[in-house]
Amino acid sequence: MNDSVGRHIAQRLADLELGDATTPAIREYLTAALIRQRDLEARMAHILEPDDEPALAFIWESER
Amino acid sequence: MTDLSLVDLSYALQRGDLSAVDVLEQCLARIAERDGDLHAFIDTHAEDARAEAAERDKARRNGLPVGPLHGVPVAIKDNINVAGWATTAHSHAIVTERANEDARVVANLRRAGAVILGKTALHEYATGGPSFDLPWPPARNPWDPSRHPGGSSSGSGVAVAAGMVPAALGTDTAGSVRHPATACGIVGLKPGYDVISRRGVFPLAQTLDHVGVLARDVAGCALVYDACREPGAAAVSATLSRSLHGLRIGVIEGFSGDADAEILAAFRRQLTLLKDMGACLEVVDLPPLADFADCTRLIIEAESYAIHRSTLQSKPKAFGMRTRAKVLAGAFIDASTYLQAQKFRRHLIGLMEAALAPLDAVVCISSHAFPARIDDDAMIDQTYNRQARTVFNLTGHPAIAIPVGIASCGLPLGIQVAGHHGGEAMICTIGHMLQQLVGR
Repeated sequence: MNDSVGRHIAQRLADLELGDATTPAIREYLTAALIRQRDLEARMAHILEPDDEPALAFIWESER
Repeated sequence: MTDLSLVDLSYALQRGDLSAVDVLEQCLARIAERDGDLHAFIDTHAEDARAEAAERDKARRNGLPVGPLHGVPVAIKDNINVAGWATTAHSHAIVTERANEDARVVANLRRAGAVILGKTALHEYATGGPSFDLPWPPARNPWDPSRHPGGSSSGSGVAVAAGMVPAALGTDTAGSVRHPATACGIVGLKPGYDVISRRGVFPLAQTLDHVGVLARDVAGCALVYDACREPGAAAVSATLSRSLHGLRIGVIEGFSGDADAEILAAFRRQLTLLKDMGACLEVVDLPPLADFADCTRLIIEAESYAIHRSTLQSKPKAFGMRTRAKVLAGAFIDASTYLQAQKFRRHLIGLMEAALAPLDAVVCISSHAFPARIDDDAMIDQTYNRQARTVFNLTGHPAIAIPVGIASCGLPLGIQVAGHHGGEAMICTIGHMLQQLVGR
């Protein structure tokens, strides 16, 4: 998994012209961060009901 | 001066028993004595502070009205604007060389009579961590200068704990006022979301950012908190001493995680004290701490990246390594994931509201571990994961960290009290009453 995450990170940083901002230590940090983000996405998908409310409801409500 | 409580100091200044100039000079002498080792201040702006203190003394001599903080020096975290001063955010990529106007909270402090004394060190842009690749060294813990003082409001915590200044402002996006408070053995109050204005405060993550207050005791903290608010708000500092008999206080044991045994024992001692004062303790069940912490972190990553993206592209090396890493993590969060995290946040807020509904307040641990060595990046990163503070940034509820003694290793112990929206008076009261028993 780390290899595919690493490739994704390199591609994304290049697309955003952010390659110069990184070092090996930063890429290592980003790998861990991305794995953590994906883990949270999976947990959120498990906990939240998919159709209980529109994803943007909180924004509409806050603007009332 | 350093022996007086902030409340007693404010009374002495209002009566004219002490002059604002003398109090300021004592603070400056203390800074000169200790800040060479502790690095709490980026710049004291001593001459501006002297001029303001002299104005305060002149106003009192001329019989003009004096505010509750008349002549009290207050230090400002350097991501908060003070008119005429640079806002550096502790970064090569400074925010501004010269702020055009005071942040609203600073203006409110001046209206209450405070003397603004300098800008304090922070973690770069209120994120990152203690770093050695920035224009100023990181602040160090006055209890043991080889250790981290907590952050990101590091300098504010150190300045208060070392007796350089009676109170300081900080910002708290994921515990950044309460962390240095606990690490340095002082009080840190993060009020509810947007209770103190964020105007003129450089953001880290707008939906989580709070302005907060650090002081040596709850009464002093409450006095400064009252001054930070808009005119006309009910004063919290006037109602601190009251019986806790019959209060229903929730205990969030689940947030204790793998806390150090001595920290856990101190927390349990506070529960006994609360019971002794007549409070009814009730167990509160909430989702795992990791749900709150991970959701908070993802939102910070997304929102801080949105703020810093263009600077990261144009001059990436203006940021320290730690900040670059933390902010760049937001480049991998797409909009749907961010929105899902906000939806998850609302789910967690609902659970917290339900838990709080029958209660007056909740108590939980603050840090799971003692401050790490300041040069040990891995341990410092771990301590950021071992705490229960970010919960109340995510939910927006007010929370206060209070010191509850000294551990056998010579470092401070602390706990948190959190409450309902608008419940700052309640949590300050509980903190104050505990502090009366524990001592300062």
